[in-house]
Amino acid sequence: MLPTKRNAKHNSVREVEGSFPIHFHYTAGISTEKFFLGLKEKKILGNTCATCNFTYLPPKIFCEDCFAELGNDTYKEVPQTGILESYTEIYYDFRGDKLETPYFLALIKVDETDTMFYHKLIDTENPKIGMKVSAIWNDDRKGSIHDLNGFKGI
Amino acid sequence: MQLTGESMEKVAIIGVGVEGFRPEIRDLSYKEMVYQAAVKAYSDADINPREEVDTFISCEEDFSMGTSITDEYAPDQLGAAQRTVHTITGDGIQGIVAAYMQIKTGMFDVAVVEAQSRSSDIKTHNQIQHLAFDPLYARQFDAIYHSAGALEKRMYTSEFGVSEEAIANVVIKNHENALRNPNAAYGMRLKEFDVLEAEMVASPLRDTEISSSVDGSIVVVLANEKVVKEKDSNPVWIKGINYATNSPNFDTREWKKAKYAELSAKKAYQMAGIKNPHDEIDVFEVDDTYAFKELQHLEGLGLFEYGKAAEALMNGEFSNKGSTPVNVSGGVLGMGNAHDANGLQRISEIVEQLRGHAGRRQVKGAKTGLAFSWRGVPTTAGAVAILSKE
Ligand SMILES: [Zn+2]
Repeated sequence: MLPTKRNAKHNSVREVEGSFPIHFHYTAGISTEKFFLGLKEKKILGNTCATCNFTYLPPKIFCEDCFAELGNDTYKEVPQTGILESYTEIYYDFRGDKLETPYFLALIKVDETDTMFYHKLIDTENPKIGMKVSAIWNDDRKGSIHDLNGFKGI
Repeated sequence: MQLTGESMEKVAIIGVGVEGFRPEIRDLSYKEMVYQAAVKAYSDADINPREEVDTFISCEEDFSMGTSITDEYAPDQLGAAQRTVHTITGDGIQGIVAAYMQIKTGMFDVAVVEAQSRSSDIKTHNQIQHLAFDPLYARQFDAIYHSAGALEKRMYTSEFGVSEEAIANVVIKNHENALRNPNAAYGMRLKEFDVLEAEMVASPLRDTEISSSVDGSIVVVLANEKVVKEKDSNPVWIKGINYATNSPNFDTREWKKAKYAELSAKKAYQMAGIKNPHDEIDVFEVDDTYAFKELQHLEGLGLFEYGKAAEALMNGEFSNKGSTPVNVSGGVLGMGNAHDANGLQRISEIVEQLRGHAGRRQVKGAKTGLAFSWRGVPTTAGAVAILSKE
């Protein structure tokens, strides 16, 4: 349940206001940088551990299963279609504020990959698990996860 | 390497103190709140913390406490100033595992574990949970953190055919059980309609299926056999204990099954010599942060095949008079979500049950109990403890 807000009327000596402001620039790293640069060029890059015959999306520099390093030659462009594996309609934002326009988030198994890809589901009237979806690109691509607008049911 | 229960001394819980749980504890600071629980635990254990406790473990997280390096503030309210103290950024059962192992080394006779929740102090609790998401991918979509629970619920229910009615009945059962628990914040009687007609937070997850936060603290005292014999305590023995994490990443984690429950339980059963948990364990306290999680966790713990716990619930098997009592304390839904103190909530109920001190919610003849905690989204971390009177 969404957290309740404390009653505004209170005895002021009972609490002292404070905050915890922390800011970062998170380093993307080798595999994510490649992935983001791929998105800019309208390419979805995954990579494959040949030993495990397992394709990661997004790509990683190591296989979670056998822990082998996945080098430059393991990257490949994967199809821009996949299967809808799960979805949720979001009614609140990350602050807990009610959204005027709810939107869908989804887990998609992109074709020729073995992982779940987390992104938006857009322009899809009656989403159903198992339906085919296709990537929709943003015209203004900067090398970020938002270069994809999301996936759409087909 | 395997943890086995064979070596050296046995370890028992000899004292538990609870302060709360309430939606808000505004008259006490966090230190005063922990002090209240500590005094009760030491009185229960017949222990003087300033002289007889050898090691203290505090389970807390900087962001939730609003202070960086918050561990530095853990000792004094536990009677641990100028003593051996360390902190764990994790659930209370992980703290119990650490205490268990420290006693097993033979270096320590008595250990204390503490966990607390001050969620009403946090004005931006949703953001803290949001900040637990991967910053490069999942956090980019700015959704309420329950989105991860919602995606998982849809995967679980559609894969195993679990009905919304069954999930609603977890909510109903646990809030009703909470009415019999003086430490529970959210005792109430609900009808299926009340649960199912509630507003969606992130579909298919409704407001009523999501546990509400509380303030409170729990302190647990553990000791070896030597101390148990010396003291006039009421011991509950730790028979098996373990914890496990599935993949932290959305792309590679298991979404349908509670893999972390499977992994941790397998090792804990092995340690406790339990072959059939459903028949050999009398009472269960299992994480129900989201209502569907109670069912999925029971299945992960090996009590039922996936998708089959719902039927047992609907047959009344999980009530305190049923064959498999589950969350007679009210669980996280009924007692309130105490975050990293949830595991100690589960432990405290099992201790009460095995001691026969659970009052109107007592499970008759309970000799062995299981406590299971999950750290909540976006984690895939779980911990299990099997306790016994013998
Ligand atoms: Zn591999």
